[in-house]
Amino acid sequence: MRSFSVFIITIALLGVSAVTTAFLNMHYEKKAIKQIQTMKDNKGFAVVELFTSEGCSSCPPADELLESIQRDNKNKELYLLAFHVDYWDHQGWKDRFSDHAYTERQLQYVNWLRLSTAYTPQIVVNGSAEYIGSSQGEVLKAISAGLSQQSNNTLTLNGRISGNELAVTYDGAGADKKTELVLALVQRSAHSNVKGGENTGRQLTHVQVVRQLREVDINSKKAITLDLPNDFDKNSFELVGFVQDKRDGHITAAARAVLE
Amino acid sequence: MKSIFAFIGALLLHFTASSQILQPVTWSYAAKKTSATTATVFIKATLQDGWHIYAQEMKGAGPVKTSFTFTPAASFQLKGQVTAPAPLTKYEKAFDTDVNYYEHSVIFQQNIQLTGGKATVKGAVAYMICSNLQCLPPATKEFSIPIN
Repeated sequence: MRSFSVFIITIALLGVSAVTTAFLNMHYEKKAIKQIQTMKDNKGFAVVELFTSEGCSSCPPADELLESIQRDNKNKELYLLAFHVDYWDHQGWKDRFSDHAYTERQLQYVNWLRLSTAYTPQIVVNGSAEYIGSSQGEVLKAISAGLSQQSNNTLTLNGRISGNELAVTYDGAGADKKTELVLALVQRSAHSNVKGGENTGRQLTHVQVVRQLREVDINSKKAITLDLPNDFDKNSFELVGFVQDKRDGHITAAARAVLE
Repeated sequence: MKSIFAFIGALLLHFTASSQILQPVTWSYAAKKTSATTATVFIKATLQDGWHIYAQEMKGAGPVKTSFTFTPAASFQLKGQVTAPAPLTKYEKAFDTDVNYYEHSVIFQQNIQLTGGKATVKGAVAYMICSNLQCLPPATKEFSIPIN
């Protein structure tokens, strides 16, 4: 009888400890997100690239993490990008935000970061480290480290809307031949109506969806114009640009354009 | 004594090296003659703990189903479809539907009608695997299974 009571008490204590740990983790992570969002003395920046897809069962927690970082964010040095890769698209299923260019970009990271394979969900921070997209603790730590790291970020971006096009100009990207400027037109909040298969009619919501991606040769003097999507609206889109080392993928500067 | 350390060292090195390569599935093949003119080929997926592969049949749209293609040859003909044991089923939030899958290992079987005494069954299996944390891109594995 006594050993039974001890057993019950032990189980109860273990339960309480598990719940407490989970609660503390949640509390800690909420606090960590808040800290990142309100950091005032940023020395650096954090470019957070999520590779995800509607066709991947392990992706929703990573999408939710990105959403919780985006919600109420006040930190202008935090750049969030969700790339929907196209390798999950197949007959009867297509992620309408997917693009093969985003898959190519992820494969470039496989090469840069010397990984054995691509996978989703994956988060890359400042082009230099990658994490499983739902590993909240590690991702937040990397973002915080990026924001605290001193950088010589002098990049500025400008986007002028003209009809269905966006003319982009930039300054302060340097003239290093080993780097390029990457431009991403991002939709802050997007809804998707699933039109295929059993999920017809289902609504999916995403944040910070990359709708256009362009790699620009910094030394080229050519004018840059991006085609705007049909559902473009200047209040719900942003243009993000960053300077990336073509040899190892490291991101050395980042900026957001005012769209006018 | 030295050799024990060397052995442990080699073992540790092996674990470190293998932990960096994500290879949650291995494929193996076998064939068995069931009569003078018939045979069955077995295609087995062995999965690491925590990973699953999707079944051939799925009610809803979403994950990539496991599918087989066989290269036609004069030496054999396929008898029926690829069969497999009953899969596990669970609700997957990402697709808002039930999905069919296998954990640990699964053996797919295809019956063959031989035209001669010997044949080599060639083909490929296309599949997608996931754990609760990540999914690997859809992959294709080619096979060549001799029947003697």
